[in-house]
Amino acid sequence: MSFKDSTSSSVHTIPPAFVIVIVVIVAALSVGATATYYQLKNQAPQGSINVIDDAGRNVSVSAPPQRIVVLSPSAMDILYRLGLRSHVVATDCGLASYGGRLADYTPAQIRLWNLSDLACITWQPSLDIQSIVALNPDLVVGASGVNIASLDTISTADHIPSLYLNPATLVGIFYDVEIVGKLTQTASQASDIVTSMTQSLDSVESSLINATAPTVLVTYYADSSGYWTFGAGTFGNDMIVQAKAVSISSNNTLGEPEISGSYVLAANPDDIIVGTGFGLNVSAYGAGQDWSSLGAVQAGHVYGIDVTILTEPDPSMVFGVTTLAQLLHPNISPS
Amino acid sequence: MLILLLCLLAVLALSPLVGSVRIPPTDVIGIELHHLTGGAFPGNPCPTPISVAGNPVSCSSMDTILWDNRLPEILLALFVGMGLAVVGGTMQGVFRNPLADPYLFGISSGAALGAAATLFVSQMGFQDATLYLPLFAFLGAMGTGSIVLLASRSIRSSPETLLLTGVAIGTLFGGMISLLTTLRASSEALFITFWFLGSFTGATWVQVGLVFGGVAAGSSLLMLHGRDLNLLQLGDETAAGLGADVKSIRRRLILISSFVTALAVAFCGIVGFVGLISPHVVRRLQGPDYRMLLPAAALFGGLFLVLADDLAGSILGGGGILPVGVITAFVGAPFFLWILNRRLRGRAV
Amino acid sequence: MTGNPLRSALLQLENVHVRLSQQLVLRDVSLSVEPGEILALVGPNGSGKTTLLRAALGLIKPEKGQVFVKGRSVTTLSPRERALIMAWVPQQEFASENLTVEDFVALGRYPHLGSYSPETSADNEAIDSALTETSLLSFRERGILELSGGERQRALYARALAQGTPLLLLDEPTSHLDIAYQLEVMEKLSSFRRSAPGRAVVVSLHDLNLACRFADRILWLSHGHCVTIGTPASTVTQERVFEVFGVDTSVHRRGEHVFVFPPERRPPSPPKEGGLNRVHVVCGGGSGKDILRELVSRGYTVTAGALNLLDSDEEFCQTENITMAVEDPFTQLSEDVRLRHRTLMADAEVIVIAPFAVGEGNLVNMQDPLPFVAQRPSFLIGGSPEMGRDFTGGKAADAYAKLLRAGAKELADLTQLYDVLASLPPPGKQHSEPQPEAPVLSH
Repeated sequence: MSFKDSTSSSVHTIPPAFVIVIVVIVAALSVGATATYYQLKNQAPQGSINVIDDAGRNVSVSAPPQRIVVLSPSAMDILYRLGLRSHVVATDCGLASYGGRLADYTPAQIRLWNLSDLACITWQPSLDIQSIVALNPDLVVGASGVNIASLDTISTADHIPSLYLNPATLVGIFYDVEIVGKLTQTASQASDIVTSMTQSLDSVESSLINATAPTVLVTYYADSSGYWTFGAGTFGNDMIVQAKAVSISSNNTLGEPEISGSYVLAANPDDIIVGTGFGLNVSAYGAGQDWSSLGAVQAGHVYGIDVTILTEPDPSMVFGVTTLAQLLHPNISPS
Repeated sequence: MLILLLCLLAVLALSPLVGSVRIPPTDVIGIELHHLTGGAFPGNPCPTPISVAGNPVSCSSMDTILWDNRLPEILLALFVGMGLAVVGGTMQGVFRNPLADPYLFGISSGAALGAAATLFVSQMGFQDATLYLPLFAFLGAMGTGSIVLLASRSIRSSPETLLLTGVAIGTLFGGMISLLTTLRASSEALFITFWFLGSFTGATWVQVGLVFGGVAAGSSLLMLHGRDLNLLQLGDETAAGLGADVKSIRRRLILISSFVTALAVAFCGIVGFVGLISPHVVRRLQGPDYRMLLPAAALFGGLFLVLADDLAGSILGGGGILPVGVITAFVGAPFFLWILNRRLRGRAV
Repeated sequence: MTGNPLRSALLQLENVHVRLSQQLVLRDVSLSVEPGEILALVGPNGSGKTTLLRAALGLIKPEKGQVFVKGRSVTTLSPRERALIMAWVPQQEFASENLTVEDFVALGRYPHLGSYSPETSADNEAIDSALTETSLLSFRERGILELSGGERQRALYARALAQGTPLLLLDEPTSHLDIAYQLEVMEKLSSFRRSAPGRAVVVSLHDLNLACRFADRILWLSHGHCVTIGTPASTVTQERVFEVFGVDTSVHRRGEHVFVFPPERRPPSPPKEGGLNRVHVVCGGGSGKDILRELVSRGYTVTAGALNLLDSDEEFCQTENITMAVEDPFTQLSEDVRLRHRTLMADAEVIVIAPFAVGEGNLVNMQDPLPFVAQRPSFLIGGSPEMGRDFTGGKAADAYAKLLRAGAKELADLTQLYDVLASLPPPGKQHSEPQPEAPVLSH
């Protein structure tokens, strides 16, 4: 086995001049590429309808989109409420780890929104851009977790407008409804939804003005090592606050932390709200650490709620505040 | 090396056929010719119609998919693979360590930390994820490399000290990333985890241009140092005795390598294994002379990564895309073991 | 002191102290290497030879003192400048990549080429001639890891040659080589420094005899301290070797040449108690060596004669401190010596006559024992001289016959001798000793 080129007895190294030429050329290419990028980016949107999405991106369409790709349940909720289900050509396939097609959706959602025959697009671990393009859509709506850079590619390279929804608070959901309504020219339906969301929240607030706030454990998963709950700054926590209650993990700064059974035992919440759906029902939470010793369990103050109400920031969540309030304050009826 | 080049060209020619949307070869060729001849030929670029989930796919969609998505993806994989392979070979030479790879100094952790930082930023409404994500990842990677380089200024620094400093910093940053992912909501944490595994989807021509520029320039500079690397293999003292300014050479090579790695990683996440095995495979086939090793490693690295990306996009079917890092590990590891076994000489690699 | 261009020395160390890991490895070492010379570094393991070379090369910075190369301080030179003046052949090197021998040797051109320049014809010539010099031309395509230890050492040397420097520094270059190549390397170093002006070699050697043979000057190192520096003739003595190495040797001189031999290894035997003790051996030309050695090892007090200087038996006796009657080299045995010889024989209790070649010059050695042979146990070893040892036209054979008639016993070989000796009764019982008088004329 020879260890060298059989052709040369000594290998010539690359002359420096040659390299300098290469470096100059590629430097020029790089500069050119960057310049092109900025040109593309700063290009004034061609369309007549413009909104700023939750990532601060300028989204523009020239006509109300007729073929929409939806990449999250929260976006689907908005579009459905706006009466745009027929405009949706594909939805997201869901994370493989949850199992099954449309794994991001509960059976109830699939039924309600009639998703079973819809095409679906993978968005994790990578967004399947090519399949999206193959569907020839005129709007792509993504939510938190979608790679924004991928959405940008769809916009700039594939010239398909993309919208990123990621509200930070309940109020942000209102904004989401408005901008989708504007883009799709369903502004009046949007405004109706916003009005009823506002009324719903006001109603809850006013009826609970004099109510005492119970302490609550809100959990979406439990096993022998503890309970997964919502910490400060999450929607789950916000909703508890709106429903006039105090979460025992409200001062926990880790987004969705796990807390131990002993902590729950010590905190002794008055009520326990468990998230159901995606394979979990109320009895499944019996596997939680120290479950049977918890005061709320013994008093029978355990209530199940569709977990999507707690986790998916959309109008259903806002309306879900009412449901939550009723569970936590059974003797007060909303006005 | 000729064989490698031919294989690479073959793979490059066939890759456009692979992806979540299957475009027939006739259409692929038609579209490519259409673009390359400026629209003159052929008349109908898509002679074979296709449909996805019952929906017919228009020719312009096929064109967009192929030209604006798939080709940039393939080329990005090519250049990233080349860059990582050359850097891997350089690092193995500089440190005389067969386990060295481009992420030696915790550059991967630095890049991921930068990328993770943008999550916080984007929460506040930053509009340029496309710009800032790679930018912060790049800065994070370069920052890590620079810290280690600064540490190397101390007189006592040996290759071993540099290595260990890098490991320590990498571990520190890895911890910070873990902390960040714990603090953030789960979907963003998931995003970082997947980013860590590497992905080429979403590649654009702009990215290709940038990466090509930086990687080509950096790799060329590294390849120029083939003789220096050969010399370094003799040991620091012998190399110094033969007139090499060992410290300066080492620093130069580390700096350029950090740059190339940072650039490669910024756009597509941490693609592992390419940098490690490409030099070894080529060394087995080509011999240990770094003047030949680095260019050959570049060819192999590009070939390997394009193949891996092809597999990543097609192996799951139904549009599922695996992270490239998974493929490189699953395909790379057995292949590497086979190569090692085949040429076992009873001597250290 | 930045360097005096008027210094003619190729390499100069001035009061160099080197500390490694808290330990002072070199103390106050000064030396200068002039063009045209081979300087050998000699000293036991750990004396600092390698450290000295590394300090000279500029690979280690001395704690105190300075190193000058061609008049310039080594610290002011860049690695490339240093590598253009000094080439280093280390004792061993870890070649971790399997480069071809040619590529390996080609690395020696690095100081001329730098990182990027392609090789020129001048470089290829230097490489080729280095390969030819070391007989590695046929190995050029082989991988360096496939070579034997000795071949690899030649490749290291070839690389140093390819470097084209005036000064070569070698660290124990002969350690893996067989005797033929050891001499070859030293010959090559010798011709290297002679073949062009301004060249010199500094080489550390563990083989003292090589140093004595090939070096112009030797620097003796002990515990990092320079004991002395000078020519082999002036510095190599038994005392010096003992001082530096702590071992007994015997040092011989032949004209200018010095040889160092290990001492004869023998357990020191006490003189025999009782029994016959003093044995005189008549020998010459190497015939007596075995006998003498064996007798001494058995504890006899041995004398020998009559021998000429430079005779191998004489040299042996010198080493063993055996009393003898000695004549100048190549000279007929004189009366004084014969008298001395007779005195020795008179003092002896046993006479052994070894099978030496007899010529006119030492014929008297066959004749002088005659009067003493009758009075004490005497033995003739190896038969009559007429069996190929008589160069006197029969006179030796006659003398032999006379000795036999006088009572000497014939023994075919030495084992018989030792048995017989052991069985003899103690002295004083049998013989009366004749008085040594006027020399007995032969015949």
